[in-house]
Amino acid sequence: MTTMIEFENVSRIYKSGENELKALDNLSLKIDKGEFVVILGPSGAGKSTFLNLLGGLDTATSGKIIVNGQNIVDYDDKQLTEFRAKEVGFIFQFYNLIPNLTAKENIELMEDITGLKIDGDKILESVGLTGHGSQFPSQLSGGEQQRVSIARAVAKQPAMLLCDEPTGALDSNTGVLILSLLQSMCHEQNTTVVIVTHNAKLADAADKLIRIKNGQIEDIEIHENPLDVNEIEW
Amino acid sequence: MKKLVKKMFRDLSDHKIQFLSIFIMAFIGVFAYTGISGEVVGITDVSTHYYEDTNLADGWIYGEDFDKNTLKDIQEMEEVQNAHREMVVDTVANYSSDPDITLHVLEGKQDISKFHLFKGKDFNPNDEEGIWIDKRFSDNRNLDIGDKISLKYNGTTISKTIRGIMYSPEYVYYMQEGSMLPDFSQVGFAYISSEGANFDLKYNRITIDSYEELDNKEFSEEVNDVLGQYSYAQFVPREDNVGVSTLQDEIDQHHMFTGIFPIIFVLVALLTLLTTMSRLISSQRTQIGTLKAMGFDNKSIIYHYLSYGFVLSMAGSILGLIIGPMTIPYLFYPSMSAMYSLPHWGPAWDVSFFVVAALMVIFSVAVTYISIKSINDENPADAVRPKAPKIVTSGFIERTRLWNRLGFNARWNYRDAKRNKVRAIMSIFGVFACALLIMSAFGMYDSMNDVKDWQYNQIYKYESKLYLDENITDSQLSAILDDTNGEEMMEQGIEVKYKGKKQTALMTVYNESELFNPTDIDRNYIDIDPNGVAISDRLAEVMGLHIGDKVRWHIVGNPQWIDSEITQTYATPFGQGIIMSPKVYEKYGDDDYNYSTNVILTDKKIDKNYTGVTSISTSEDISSGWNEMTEAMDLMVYVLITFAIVLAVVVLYNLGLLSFTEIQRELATLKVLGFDSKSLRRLLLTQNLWFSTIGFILAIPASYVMMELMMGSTGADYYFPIHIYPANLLISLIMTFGLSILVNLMFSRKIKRVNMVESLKSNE
Repeated sequence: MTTMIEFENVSRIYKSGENELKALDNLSLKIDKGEFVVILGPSGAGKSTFLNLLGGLDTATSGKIIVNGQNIVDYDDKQLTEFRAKEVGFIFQFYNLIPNLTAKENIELMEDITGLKIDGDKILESVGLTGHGSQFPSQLSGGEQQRVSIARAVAKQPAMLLCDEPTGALDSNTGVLILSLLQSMCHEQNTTVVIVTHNAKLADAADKLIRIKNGQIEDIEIHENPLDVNEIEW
Repeated sequence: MKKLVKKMFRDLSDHKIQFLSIFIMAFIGVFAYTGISGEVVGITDVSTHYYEDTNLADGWIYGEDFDKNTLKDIQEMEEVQNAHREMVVDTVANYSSDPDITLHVLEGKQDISKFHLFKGKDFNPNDEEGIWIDKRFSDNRNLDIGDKISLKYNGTTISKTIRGIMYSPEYVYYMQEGSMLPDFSQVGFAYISSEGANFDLKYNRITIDSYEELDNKEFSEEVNDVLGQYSYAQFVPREDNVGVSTLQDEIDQHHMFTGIFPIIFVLVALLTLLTTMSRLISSQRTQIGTLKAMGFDNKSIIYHYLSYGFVLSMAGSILGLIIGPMTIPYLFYPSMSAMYSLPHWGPAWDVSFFVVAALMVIFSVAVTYISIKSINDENPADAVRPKAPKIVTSGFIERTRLWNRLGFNARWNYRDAKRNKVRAIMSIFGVFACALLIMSAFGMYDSMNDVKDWQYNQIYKYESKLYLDENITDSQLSAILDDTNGEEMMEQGIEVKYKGKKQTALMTVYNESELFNPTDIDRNYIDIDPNGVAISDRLAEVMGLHIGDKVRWHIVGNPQWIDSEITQTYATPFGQGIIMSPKVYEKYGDDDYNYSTNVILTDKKIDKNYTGVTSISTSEDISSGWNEMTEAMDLMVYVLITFAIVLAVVVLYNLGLLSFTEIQRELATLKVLGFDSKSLRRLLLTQNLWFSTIGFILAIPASYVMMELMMGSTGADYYFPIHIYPANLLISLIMTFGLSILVNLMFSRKIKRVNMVESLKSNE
């Protein structure tokens, strides 16, 4: 196992006037390549901040975030954009598909960023949406939209998939489908997957479970034999 | 309710830009309308009041020596309220370069065409030593109350002391003979009392104040009946006074020039205001639903939002209503006052100004009401949720092969425009209106220059034009011709009649000329048939004449009408009329008309005085006169273009902002996915450029139609073809697209600042 992501004493402090809010407080951790990581914590614990820093949407106030040997905290806007384009697949709670583009076009949109030739139909097939390619997001159900969103994220073959409450807006059956899809992508294609959630039931499915509280790590569990998402009692 | 007021102020500060733009749109719409129209309205208002306050005569009867009984007869005419006698004579003041002063000798105190006293004492009929002199002459000659002035009339010297300095409504526009521009040190007018006359008094003019507007023709005939013994008496109605008519023409011309521009401004402003307002309300949708769910009644919610539209558009409109007429018209006054003499220049408010301002407010309140109503009519459970996105479907274009070859940028923009049709149409309309205004303004400017070039470079090739005294002797004439190497010509004012239509025109009679070269409508030189009669296209059009028709004409002042067959047409921008050779003229004229040269054209610059020449106009005079005359129009072009630019920026920025707010979330997503700011900027620019292209293309034919309408109303004397120079067309194009790009650049910082984290949190 090679270390892919390393946080070294990372802090993110939001300042508004006199007040300081420490969203992340001197946090350090390591994630290996191909790991299925679940980050658990209550609201306001700093989960999303962690994910945003890792995804290059936000910049740490101090500390180092090393991804594949590069400290992305030192990156400028342009480098961060390239980092997001090449390395990161982001999956949002509210899918964030482009409403003006069809499902297939949403996926093939990644051609513009990566320069790769992308076969939208094939990727749609891999998320079980064969035949939905010409539909617009507004014509799809929530679960279908999230699958398109996953398809879009994996289309550019990123080093890591970052998921912010990916099942937060879905019913539990659909949620299981989505998580199982993510888990199998992780294990079959050796893609690192980081899922942020407040749903503790997902804990047993993780290779590595990180609990965060008040911007700090509460504990880290390594599961040698994680459960398959489908085996969990929801 | 108190809390809602608090909310309103917080909303105002949260949505500063949108609210500001509603305020600005209302302001600009009203400001442009009142500012541009204000010039014409102001001058009309000032002159109308001036004529009323001074009781400008409704007409004048000119004669030689009216006696007391005649005056009484006139006074007793049914239509006449009052009438006065006066003697009006040309005098020369005793100053360097002999300025001409028109002297009015008044019989007693008069209440018709009273002068407007600027300084000093009012007219006193018993003051034998006093004189009242005009303001502009006194300014130019540094004269003041108490100064002495000497005038020479018929060998008599009239010496008086200045008692007052004044303006007269009969002299709104006047100038020295043979000139295109007034030089107020060379020309003026003055009043004295008949008590102070040291010369033979012959009252040669009667001023008339009528009860109602006079029917000129009828009244003229009645006057002739009353004044049977005075064969030379002639009635001149008020509108034929040189000052009154020239100022009116100028006003009409400005009116034509501003045309429908102000209305376009109002329209664009109104439409943008409406779009913004309705979008703003929809953006508050869930808040409205929440207020409702909390138990606010419909009425207070509606009032709350109505007050937004009302307060903002009201404030903008009122400001525009006040500032418009107080600013823009003042730009025009300096050039106008170089030509015209009014006691003051100032703004005025027309009813239409208030109508426009009221429309702004009413429409914005109405559109607010309609938007709120539609949300309010939903049940609160639906309204608290954002509106379900519109279902987009693939249309015809998306099924074509071309579509598959389009990039993401084009696809996204096409669908975005399709999904937001109102915004798209508004943007196109905004660009269209802006390009239309810019092109038409340039077009008017170019057309004027084009006409100048046509008339003064192509048709007229002379350097000097000499107007001859009618009593010039043959030997004097041939001496001048020899000395100047000139060409002879006769120009006469004529009246033309055809099938009941009557029109004044200019007749030009000459043999052959190198300095006067008539052209056809395509500006190709043509030869005038030495055996025929040519008519100008515009005159033919106005009269409904064609080649082969017989036109009936006579020289003004000569009662003999002549019928001539038209054999040819020519085109000219100014001085529509007919051309013939002396041979044809004498043939048709028989015994009644004999050719006699009254104009000499020469390619030499003449600056010396010949005996027998009354005045000389050089091409330089004409050129500077032209520039002075068109100064006001040039200014209007600048004002229009400036407004068009401001309007375009505000409209495009406004619509851009609406669109930006709506797609902010998408932009954030794209940013997270790895698109850089540059491609996001390009994404927005693409749409702007599409709309600009469509708007600009539509504006080209529209501006031609608009100029056609405006130029068509120039009157029977002029033919101004529409022309826009390619360079200015190009500038219009660059300006239109430049503005589009400029507005896009205004968003570049906003795009950079799109907060990926914030925008992704929830659907709201």
